[in-house]
Amino acid sequence: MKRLFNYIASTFLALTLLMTPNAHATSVVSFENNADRFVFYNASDSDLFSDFHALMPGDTLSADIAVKNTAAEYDFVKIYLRAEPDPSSSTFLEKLNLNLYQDGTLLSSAPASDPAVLTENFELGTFNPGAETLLTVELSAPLTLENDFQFAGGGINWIFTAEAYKDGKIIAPDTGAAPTIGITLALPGILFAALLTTTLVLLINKRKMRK
Amino acid sequence: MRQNSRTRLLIVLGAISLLSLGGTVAYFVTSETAHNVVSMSGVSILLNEFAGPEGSHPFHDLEDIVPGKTYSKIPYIENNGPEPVWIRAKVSLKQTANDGTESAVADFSRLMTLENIGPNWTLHSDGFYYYASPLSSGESSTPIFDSVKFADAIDGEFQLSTYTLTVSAEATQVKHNGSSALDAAWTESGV
Repeated sequence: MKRLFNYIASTFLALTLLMTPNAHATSVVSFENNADRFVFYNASDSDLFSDFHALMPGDTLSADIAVKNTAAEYDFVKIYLRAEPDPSSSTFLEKLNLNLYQDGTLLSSAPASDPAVLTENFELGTFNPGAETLLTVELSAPLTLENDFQFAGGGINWIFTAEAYKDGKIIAPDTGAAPTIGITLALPGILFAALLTTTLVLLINKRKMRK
Repeated sequence: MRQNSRTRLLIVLGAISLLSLGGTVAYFVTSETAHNVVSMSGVSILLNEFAGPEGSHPFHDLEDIVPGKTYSKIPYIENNGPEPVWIRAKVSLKQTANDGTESAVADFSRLMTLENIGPNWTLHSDGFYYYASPLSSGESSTPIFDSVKFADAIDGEFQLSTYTLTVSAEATQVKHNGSSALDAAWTESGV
């Protein structure tokens, strides 16, 4: 009987541990090798800030996001972040304040409708394989927020961009897609090469004529 | 002949240069977008009025009032919003004379009294009844009162008029807003 009781007790304990929700899990944005792209973890339908719902005036909510480079194929990756608030909800978003910290240092404090330094691609840093940084986003609603904004809502897109480097150069991975960006930027290279070739041919002909 | 070879060599070098420059200028950029939705909550209440034993039916307007008689009227507040709220209520009386003139009756105790003020309700000097505890989402308050008793003798000034007894209720958020309904800040959210 004692043996049976112990088994039931330990099973209950194990089940309790399994069922305990990880209420405030850090979201993760990981640049990964096998995908050559960012992958989001602990995010609900790419919403990295699942706690930013049902705010009340006076609330300050925060969310942590770990940004990391797990792609071993490249020497390092530069990662950028940009925020694009939905313009149709700017009347609401401008009432809220957004603070962004990186590893504890305040990067930006501005209305959520106009996120200051994050309006353009902001470089979070250079990431060797395995390196990561911790972003903390704080969202505040003023205590004086008017009744008109009860049950209001708005969207913000957070765009993470990566540049991958190898052997000191930015490289193009084989993504299977047409390298349209690569071709566009190759035009200056084509022109330069044509100019070089023409110059060399002219020099040679000039020499010929002297002789 | 030698010149032609040299020329050809330079052209080939130029072509190689073209290809290699095209390769190093092309760069890898990948982006992913996380979509974040921010939303506010809010407060919402319902004022319910019932009558009869244990509030068996909705309250209906009273006609042909009999002096000295007590009539059942049971108002209470329900929190039908997602957030806990502080609540308060006010009872006011308006007189409409035969000629249609309306006036507020500041002290209606000579005409009627509110009977059995509910537990947790306290009348404050500002004329509001304040509820002692926060009302959670989905919870209903105790009745503010459960009946109205008319005076045994109704003064002449109150006769041949229509009276409107109005119960109004207000709610304000509990979060970041004091430790009781009395010291909370009150907003425009009222019914």
